[in-house]
Amino acid sequence: MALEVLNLGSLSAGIGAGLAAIGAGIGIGKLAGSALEGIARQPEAAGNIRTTMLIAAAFVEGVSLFAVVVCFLAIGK
Amino acid sequence: MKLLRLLPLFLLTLAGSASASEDLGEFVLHHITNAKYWAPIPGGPVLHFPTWLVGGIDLGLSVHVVMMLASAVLLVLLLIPASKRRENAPKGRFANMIEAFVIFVRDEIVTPNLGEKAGRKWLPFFLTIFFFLLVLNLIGLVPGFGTATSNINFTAAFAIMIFLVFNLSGIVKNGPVHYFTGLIPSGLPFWMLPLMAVIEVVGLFTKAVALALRLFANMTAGHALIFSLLGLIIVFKSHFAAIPLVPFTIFIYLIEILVAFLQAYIFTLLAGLFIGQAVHQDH
Repeated sequence: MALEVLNLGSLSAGIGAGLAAIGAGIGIGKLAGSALEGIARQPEAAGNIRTTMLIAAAFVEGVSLFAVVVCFLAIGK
Repeated sequence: MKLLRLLPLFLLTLAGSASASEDLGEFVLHHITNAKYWAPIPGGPVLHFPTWLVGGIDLGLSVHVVMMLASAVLLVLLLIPASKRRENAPKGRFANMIEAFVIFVRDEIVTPNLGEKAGRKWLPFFLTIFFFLLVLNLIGLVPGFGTATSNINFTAAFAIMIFLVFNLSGIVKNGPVHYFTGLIPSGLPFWMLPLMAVIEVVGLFTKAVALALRLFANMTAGHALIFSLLGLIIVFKSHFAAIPLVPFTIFIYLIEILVAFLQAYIFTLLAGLFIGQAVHQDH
């Protein structure tokens, strides 16, 4: 059976996006866990903790989206 | 909140503009990238924008340029009346909301990074960045409109501007030689200095690139996700696929509104941080 042309660019784009999702998931998960623990210990600080968590989540998300942009560039190569 | 009930209809109109012969990639790309024609209502009138070539660069209108102009007009129309003070406090709900944003930018971004006195002079610059990016991000969420911030050219131009501003303000404040030597922290062993010099200079460029890329990636990914989810309804070629997909898309859409605010805030925060670091070098 002849192998069809394997587009390594598209394959790597898919794998890369998946890995980026794993990274973002782990990062934001740890972040949210620490935030929940902080709020549980000190409910008065809930507003501050929530704001800080959102800002840090945006940074973590940004890093994973850098990887997604590279994946977009690799599609079809 | 009543308008929120119409949201599913809005989102379905986005999906309805795909013809049966398009595939998902084309559908998503067509709605995210810039184009010289614009059909805000699918199936309705198509606006074609003129080209104006100046030395090989097209300075004419396109969808994203029209969005930028619309956002500028919107900001002028909304913010100038909101800033008029008859007594010492703003009157009305809208003016109060704008004042809340202004105080937020002043107290969280400008004053901690630049101090009180210099902060008062820098405040209009940061407010302009914040409100311009915020309105551009939010306009992009209206169905049928494009997002200028999801264009790498726009975010790169913004980041180049911030790069120039923080380097030039650092050079003007500290003197050209002192600014660059002040990038390297003091108290290091002498063999580390060349390495730190390289790292710090590359760091200058990395900060600007990261600013551009972060905003671009967040906006593009969000819109690509919404269009992909709605395009899945077309891919499955069945109406029943809409039952799980539209509520999920609405959920993602609400997250996108949050991301619009958050990314505008983070861009402004990082710009403030970099300018503060350049002006008050503490190495």
